[in-house]
Amino acid sequence: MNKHLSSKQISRWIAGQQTSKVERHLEQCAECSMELTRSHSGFVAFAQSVREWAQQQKEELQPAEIRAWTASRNRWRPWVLGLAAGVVALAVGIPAYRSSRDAREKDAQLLEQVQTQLSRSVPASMEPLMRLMGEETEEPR
Amino acid sequence: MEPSATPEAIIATMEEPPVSIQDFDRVFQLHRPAIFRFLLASLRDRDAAENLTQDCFLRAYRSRHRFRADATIKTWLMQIAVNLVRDQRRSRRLQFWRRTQALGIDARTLTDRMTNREVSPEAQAVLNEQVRAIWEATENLPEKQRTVFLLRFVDDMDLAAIAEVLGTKQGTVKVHLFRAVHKIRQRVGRMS
Repeated sequence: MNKHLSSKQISRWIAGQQTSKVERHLEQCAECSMELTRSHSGFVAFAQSVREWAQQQKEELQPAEIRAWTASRNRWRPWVLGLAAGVVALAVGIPAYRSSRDAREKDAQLLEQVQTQLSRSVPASMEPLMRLMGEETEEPR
Repeated sequence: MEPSATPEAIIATMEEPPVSIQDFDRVFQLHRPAIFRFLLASLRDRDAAENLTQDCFLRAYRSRHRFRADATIKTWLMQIAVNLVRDQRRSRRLQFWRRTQALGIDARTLTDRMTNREVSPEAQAVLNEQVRAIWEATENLPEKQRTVFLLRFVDDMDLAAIAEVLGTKQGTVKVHLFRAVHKIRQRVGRMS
């Protein structure tokens, strides 16, 4: 068997640059195989620890983070909602205002008619008779 | 032995469904964990990682019309995240005390996650020590090497995707990764 793997060869292997020559050596050399496994397991444990740690941090942050993201994206939405509410208010309010103005005008007309009726000395239907009687009672000069 | 051949990596690749950039809420839900993880591992500061995750998605959202489908959404988001980390580190360069403090806290926090595994206490102690040593060694790597190392080992990205994120050649990524692993191993060896 050849001499043991160099530290650089082991680093290359862990970095993903495997060669068949190194692979053959690892199959035959328990010492190099153990060293590579020991070293590589540290990197695997490191990666796993960072992932778990990040996952835990993310779970703690998640509600606040999502709220912040939604808020930052939706910063313009209150303006749009306000504008939409204004448009709806105008759409509903203008016809309602018009309808109420028409009703007021009708009321005023009716009131005027009532006033006219009340200001008469006799009912409207008797007015021609009253005019006739007035002509008859006038003294001839 | 090959990190990319781990079952988790294969499942993670298979589980990523095609998502349109227009469905941005889904993009956020799907990629937020990976972006946050990378930022947290790079900055070692939860608040900064959280803020930059928000920044990353806001920038992506504002420029989503410029996204081209020749890159994956994750690669594109990771490009933004890498740039944010670079800017953040530049602005922090003189705040040595803050970085040192964060390093001390996070190395312990990281190994606390491993206490429930089914290994002997002795093996656990050795593994914890290795993880702490790797964590500390990572902080001392040059920026490019650290980024490549974290994207490869923590985020399970392949060399081609990392090359795309960094806007460099795959061969360059390979060199950075080898140097990072080798430096870390040397440092861990010295520590133990």
